[in-house]
Amino acid sequence: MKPERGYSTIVIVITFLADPSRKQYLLNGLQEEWIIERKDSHEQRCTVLDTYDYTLLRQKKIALLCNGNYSFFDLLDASKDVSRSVTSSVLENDKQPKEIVKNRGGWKVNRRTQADVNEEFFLVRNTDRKGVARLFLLLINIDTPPLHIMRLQISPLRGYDEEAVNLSTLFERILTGDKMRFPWDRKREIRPRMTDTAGIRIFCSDVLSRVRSFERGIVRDTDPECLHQYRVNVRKIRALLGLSKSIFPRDWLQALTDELSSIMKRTNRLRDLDVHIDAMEGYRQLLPDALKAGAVLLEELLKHERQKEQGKVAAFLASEKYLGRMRQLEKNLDKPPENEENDDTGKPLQATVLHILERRFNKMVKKITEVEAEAEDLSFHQIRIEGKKLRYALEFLEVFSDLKQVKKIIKKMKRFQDLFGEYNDLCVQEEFLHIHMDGIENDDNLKAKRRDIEMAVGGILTIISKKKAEVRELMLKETVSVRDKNLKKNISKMVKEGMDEISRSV
Amino acid sequence: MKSVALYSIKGGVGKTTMAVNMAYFESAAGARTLLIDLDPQGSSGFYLRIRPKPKSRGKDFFRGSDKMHTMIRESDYQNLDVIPAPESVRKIDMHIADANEKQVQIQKMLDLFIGEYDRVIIDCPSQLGLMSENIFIAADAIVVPLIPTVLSLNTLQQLEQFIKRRQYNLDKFYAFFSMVDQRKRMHRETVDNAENLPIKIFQNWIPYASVIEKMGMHMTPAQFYAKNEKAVRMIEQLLQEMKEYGVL
Repeated sequence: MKPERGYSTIVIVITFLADPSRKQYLLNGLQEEWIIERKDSHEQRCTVLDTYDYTLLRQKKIALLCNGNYSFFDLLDASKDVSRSVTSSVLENDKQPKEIVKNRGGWKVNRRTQADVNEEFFLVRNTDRKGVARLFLLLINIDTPPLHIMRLQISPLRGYDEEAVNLSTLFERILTGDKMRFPWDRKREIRPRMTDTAGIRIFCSDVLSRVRSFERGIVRDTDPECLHQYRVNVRKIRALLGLSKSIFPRDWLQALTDELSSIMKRTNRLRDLDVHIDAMEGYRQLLPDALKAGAVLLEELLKHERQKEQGKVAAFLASEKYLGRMRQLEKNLDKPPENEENDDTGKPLQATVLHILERRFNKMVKKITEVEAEAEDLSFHQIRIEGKKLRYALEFLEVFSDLKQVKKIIKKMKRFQDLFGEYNDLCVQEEFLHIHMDGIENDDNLKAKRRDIEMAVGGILTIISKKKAEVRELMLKETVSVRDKNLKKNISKMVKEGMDEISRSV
Repeated sequence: MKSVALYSIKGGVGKTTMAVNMAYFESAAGARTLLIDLDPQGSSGFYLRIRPKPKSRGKDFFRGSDKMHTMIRESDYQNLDVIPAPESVRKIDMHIADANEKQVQIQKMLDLFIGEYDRVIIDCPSQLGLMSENIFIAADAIVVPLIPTVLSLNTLQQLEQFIKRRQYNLDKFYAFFSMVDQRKRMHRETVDNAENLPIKIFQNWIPYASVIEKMGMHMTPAQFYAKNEKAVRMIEQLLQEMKEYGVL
């Protein structure tokens, strides 16, 4: 409950996540003490704006676009309530909510998913049947991740502030035990001193919740980013478990990573198609006019194929078999493996992660030192994989540690990561096109269009090849900064400080 | 801001009924309206289901803006706020008597609402004392309901003499006939021969009708539950006439 100062009166706003079917239960609870009169209601389908990584929602904020109007809600801070609906006060010239505009430097906000927004207005009367407060109930049912946000706004009629506070107290009482957890909220706090296996398990379990939050978006095909985020998070769990193989029982770990790999495999082709379709527009613009028609045909072909592949992935994710496997994964991560030690006897999480980090960094530097300008793509791919593992470990460390250098190192490695990622995408696209052309050659239905498509593919491969050369050069330059002594010094310093911190706490 | 007081020395003449319906009429037309109940019976608040706040006191009327504003309660009707009468409003004359500028206490109170409200309707108690004199100075118009009986007309004359004696402005006093029972010859004749009254009297009048008395049962303005009843339409015609005369 948070009273908001307004014109000579207060407005109380309560926001929470809840199963939408509980709405009636809430209203019934209120009716035991008050008379609730429904005045009006509206329902509309809105677009949720957010970054690819749901930065806003993770910060418990929501930006909605309903019928051309923006609204922006801070779900935790009622004082940032934007208005009953949406007003120009939250908009700037480019029609983006101010908060988003403010953060544009780091974020790319886009139309992310859909939400059903239901507004209901009530008048609350006391036992004299006198109106004492207006109640505005906002239900936002977001498709992906599946979140059900209820927002109650109690606006007392002038002179009835006390009644409104009593009303909100009753709400809070009815709500007890009814609130739901945000998919990104941790089930348990992760502390540097806790046993390493427990810390890693809890983190992986949280990440798995995020994985699951993207399922509906993939099934409904809301946005290709849903699949991307789904895969990024599965990979994160797999990488972290892989990095800590020495501390978990072998069979336990193997069962988990095998299952995750198997699930990833089912989505590989769809992701490749998404990446390629996304890149097609850029390629089409770079191609000479004579090849553009073929590029359009290729794109249509890819889209058609994507549609089929999306159907397969959606059917897989909606299947009982998949859901059962996911439930089993959740159970395995939530339940400690045999012989897991308690926080007093086990090895501290921070020590284990720092140890892993140092080892990984040295391994990566070794690989970078070995790589030559003419090296195979595979060598660069391996460096990229090492870099990714290092980054996941750093991001994990950032979750529970206060060590100053973590952020700095992550920042320092960002460009390196971006370049290696871009290079890898180009390699994947190149390989994909080669394989795809083989498929076209064997398809009799495409005979007539084959020549145009082949020419376009040839043109695109030339573009990719040129780009690869450019990026490779930049990558090689960037490896110097990773081999830089200062970075190594920073990591060693961080490891030392982290270890000292743990020793002191013991 | 225009302020109108419903006033009569005599009780039970329909002041509160008119005050509530007048306030509703004005607010429904879009005017930001405040109904102030100065009658310790608290009937205006009762008709609108509004009780005074437990801690509000009669002296709060004269304790500045903050105190005054905390007494305001929003009604269930758009644009209509009410200051219901706490029981201790009966001591209001005493508080005025203690004040330095005894004649302008109500004027000062009304000044607090300039800019906030377009209309202030005051439901006055039946008395002729310090508070009444304050009202005579402060209100833009004083409307007196009259039952067409000898006694009622007699009190109107008493009022006229008092106003003249104290040199208040008689031009802002208006009257209308209320609770007219057309079955009674005396009522009919009094209404028909009203031109000799000492203050301006409206042509429209309010009949004695059970539909109006039922306000107490419905606890809403009569226009809200019986808009199409003849008696209620007559109230509206009277209010319309008041508007034409610039009272509202």
